Amino acid sequence: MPTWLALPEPVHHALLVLAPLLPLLLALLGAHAASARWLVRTAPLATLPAWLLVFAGPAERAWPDLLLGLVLGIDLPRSAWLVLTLLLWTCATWFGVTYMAHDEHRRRYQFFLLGAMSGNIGLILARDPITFFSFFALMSLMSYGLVIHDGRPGSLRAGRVYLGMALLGEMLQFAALGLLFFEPAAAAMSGSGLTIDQLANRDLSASTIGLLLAGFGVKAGLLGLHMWLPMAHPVAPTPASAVLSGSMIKAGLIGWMTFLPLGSAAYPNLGASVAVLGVTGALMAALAGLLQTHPKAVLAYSSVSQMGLMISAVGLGLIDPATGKLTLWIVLLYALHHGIAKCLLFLSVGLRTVRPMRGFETTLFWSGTIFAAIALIGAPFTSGAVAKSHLKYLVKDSVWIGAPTLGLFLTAAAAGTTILMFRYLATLRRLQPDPHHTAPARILLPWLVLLLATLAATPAAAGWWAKRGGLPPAPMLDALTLLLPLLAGAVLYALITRALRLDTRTEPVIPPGDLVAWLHHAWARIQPTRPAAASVAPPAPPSFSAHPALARLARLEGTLSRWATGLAAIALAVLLFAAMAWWTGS
Amino acid sequence: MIPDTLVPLAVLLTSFITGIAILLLGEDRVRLRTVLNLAGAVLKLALVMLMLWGVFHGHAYQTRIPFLPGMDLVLRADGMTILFASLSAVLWLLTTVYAIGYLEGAPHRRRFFAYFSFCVTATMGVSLAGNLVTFFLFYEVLTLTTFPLVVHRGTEKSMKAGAVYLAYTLGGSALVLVGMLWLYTIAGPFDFTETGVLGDLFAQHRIALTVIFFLLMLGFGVKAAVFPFHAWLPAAMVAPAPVSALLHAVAVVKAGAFGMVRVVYDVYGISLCDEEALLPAFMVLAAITILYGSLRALAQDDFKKRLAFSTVSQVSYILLGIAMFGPMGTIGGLVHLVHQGIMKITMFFCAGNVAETLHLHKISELKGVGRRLPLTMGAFTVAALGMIGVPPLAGFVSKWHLGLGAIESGHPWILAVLAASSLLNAAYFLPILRTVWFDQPDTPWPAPEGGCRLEASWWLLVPPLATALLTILVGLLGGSVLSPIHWAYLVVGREY
Repeated sequence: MPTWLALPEPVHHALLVLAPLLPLLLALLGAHAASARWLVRTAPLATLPAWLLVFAGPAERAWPDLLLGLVLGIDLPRSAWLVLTLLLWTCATWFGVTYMAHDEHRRRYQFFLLGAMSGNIGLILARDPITFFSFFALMSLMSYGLVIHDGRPGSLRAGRVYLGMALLGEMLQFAALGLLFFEPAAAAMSGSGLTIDQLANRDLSASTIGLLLAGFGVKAGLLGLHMWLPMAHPVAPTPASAVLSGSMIKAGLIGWMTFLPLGSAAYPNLGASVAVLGVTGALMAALAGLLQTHPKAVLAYSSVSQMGLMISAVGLGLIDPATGKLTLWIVLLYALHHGIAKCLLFLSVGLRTVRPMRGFETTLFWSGTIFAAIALIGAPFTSGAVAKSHLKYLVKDSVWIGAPTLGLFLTAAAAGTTILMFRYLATLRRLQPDPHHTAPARILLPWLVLLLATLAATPAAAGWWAKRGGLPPAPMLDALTLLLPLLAGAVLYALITRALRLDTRTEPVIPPGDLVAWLHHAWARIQPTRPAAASVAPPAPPSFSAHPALARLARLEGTLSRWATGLAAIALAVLLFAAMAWWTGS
Repeated sequence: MIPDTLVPLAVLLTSFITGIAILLLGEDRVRLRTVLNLAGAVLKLALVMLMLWGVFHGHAYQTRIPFLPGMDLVLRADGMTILFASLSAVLWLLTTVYAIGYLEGAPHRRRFFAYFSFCVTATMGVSLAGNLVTFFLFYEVLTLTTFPLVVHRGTEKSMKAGAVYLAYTLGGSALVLVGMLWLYTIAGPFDFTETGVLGDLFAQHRIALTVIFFLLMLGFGVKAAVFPFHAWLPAAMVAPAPVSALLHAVAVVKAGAFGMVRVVYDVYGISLCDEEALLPAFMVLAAITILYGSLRALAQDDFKKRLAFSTVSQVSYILLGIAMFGPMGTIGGLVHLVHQGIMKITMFFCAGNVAETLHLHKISELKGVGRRLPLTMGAFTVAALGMIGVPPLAGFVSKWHLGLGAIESGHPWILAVLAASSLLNAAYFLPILRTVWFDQPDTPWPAPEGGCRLEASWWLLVPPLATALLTILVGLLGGSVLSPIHWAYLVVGREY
């Protein structure tokens, strides 16, 4: 990691703390009404210390008095994650300054957005497990406020599912991190002061790996744990959706990269299941996404699909240590490509609703959006082509017996992405602009920055990381291989759209959140029917607190206190006393 | 400077004399009473801090008073004492401040504050007790002095709750008394000793000492609200908010939990308990209580009642930590003694503020209260997140060590209990936070009385804000010498 900006050591270390802390401080300041107005405008500047950190070279510092031994640091791979994260956060919050300017609750939005930003930056810099876990939790909890921002019933339901699954993920991570401390060869008995390097990246037991995979898999949208994602991402305000789907979703991957022993040990069975889960998720999400009617829901499923590809790459890395070393960099490259393109596509949805466009602007908007879409598909000469070539290289390089099949499925998933992007463009075209909003032209600036990044960032990073980091020199796939999924996807899209009459539907065939939504319907069906409420109040959401089992517990409790348990205890005591007297007497 | 032998006694006297003086003063001497209360609390805090410094540097503080032939009353400060005593001293000061604000203009304040002081005297006695007799004596005084506080309002409901409280706690005390006397017939007089005093005796009196162990633990378990002896705690909710705060955070439930700590570590010795397999039953009991309390909390709409069932659940974390054999579990249990106190007292202060300023008692009425009481609800939010175990707050530090303890002692199923409990905590605390911050109130809130610029008076605001800050700090400064977790490490180093 080169140093472009030489800083005195104390300043450098202060920046390590300030990078995650400044957004959090601004979030808290914003809760105070008087300072809220100028804070809403300056939110993108909260990323400034973290940006400086990117250019200031490697650093690490421990503060043993803080937390259970706080260690923060930055090295080359982390600075790469940080660049991706900061780029998206800066553009999305910048976009939000204009986009959310007339929102009734923009102070609240600002609070949760900055809080989540703090968590996202902090977890990249964390070098000890407790700090990582803390920032991860901060990000997850703050995002809840973004998901339920508009307060509609659908958002509240999405928020409940999101929070439930996020907390489940936290619990699994908690157990996994606990087990890490007791892995063989763990350092001496001490609950604190151990860095991630001392704990992880060693030969871990399968149960620890499993818990790590599931715990961070919730955030990464691992198949079976992904249901919250298509529910929560679309309902958040658009700038928040963009960072949720572009950046925060990657925190799960960062967790895996941080704790899994990629490149130092082999886990053939676990790795194979992860690879299969990943690619299955990629295909199924493509199908489910096709059946959506809102462009943001289509994009959310596309995120699940794209994450599936990255997850299967992690699976390959677990199978074989030789591949594992490459996995980190290839996944990083893919995440960069996907994050930027996805963020831009989300902002396009926002632009479409608040910015009435005509003439050159319309041309620019559609060509930019379509370019990002075909980049995501992986057409030749786009960032997708670079990322996909590296992914294919990883598959070819793998010793796993299933790798060739996986390669085929990856191509199928690319066709799935094509279908999704067509669907996205179709739904975006049908989206009606919001007549109440006419955003000024400056709202286009962050979008343009992202467009430039879509063009240049991934190829530039690939060249650079190949030279400085550990990215393998993957040969570019030929145009035919890249175009095949595009053509196949286009044909399939035309056929399916015709068959299912998708053009005329206003309700999604599969509700966002698939499994959870179905479970919800099933649950509603087996519930005893309640008498219809007389008022027009919306039906109460199914709640734990009204469950009959809890009422039964309450009755038991009543019995307990009626029995005057205390008196019974005294009687027991007297009996025991008699027994004791007899005992000691004899 | 006070000689080391008198410091423990002085700690007791600061609040005892305050109580007597308040009784002697007239009901209407408000200002002098306030000064006395605060002076007593500050003085006690200073003395406890002195002891803390001393114990850290290896001083021995001990007061020994002849009581019965062969039985002395012993007051002394060891590591565990400091943990409990500094918690009590800090929280007593804050609760006194809060109670002065809360009861402003209410009748019978003389009686209230006098018993309040006696109650804290007893709590301090429990923490300083150097042997089982002394412990039991103060433990009983605590029961008797909290009764007038529980029934303070004098309504029929509160009298009933007081009766339930007495029935349960006296029943529990009876068990402890039997166990204690029986133990003395076998082991003779003894002081609390690190790593235990029984040693070889256990092999000779295996059955008797096993029965005694269960008598003592279940007896103390009544006050610690262990299932199925917990029903008095939610009933005692009728007490005024400062009393509930003290009952739940420091005085009564903690005295029970502290009793169990003393029995396991300083009477039987943790190694003996482990060898003789005395602990697994209590681990299961703690797990049941943790889940049961959480499930019951889910169904409560009454604000204070939900908090009460949450206490039932949370106090058993301490028992869980005690019942696990291994330093990490012990650390988790001991530190939760402090952490649970800080967090739960914040919540009761906040519930009290809501009741006092807006006269709301039900969770379903709290829509949008955050806008009217932002500081109060901010403090509540911190405490609730801490209870759920969000890192790096106080509750997380406890749960983290309990989790490590579970793995260390070879009971990974405890991890599942901790996870389930955390999810349940989230399920009953997070809806409160959502309704408070996100929902719109049905009707606009009345303006603060008397044109007050703040949401409530300073007396009512400072205590919850201070404890909320502590909830953050004990986690944030977890690695520093001043943190409770550091003390727990120190204490546990002497027990294993």
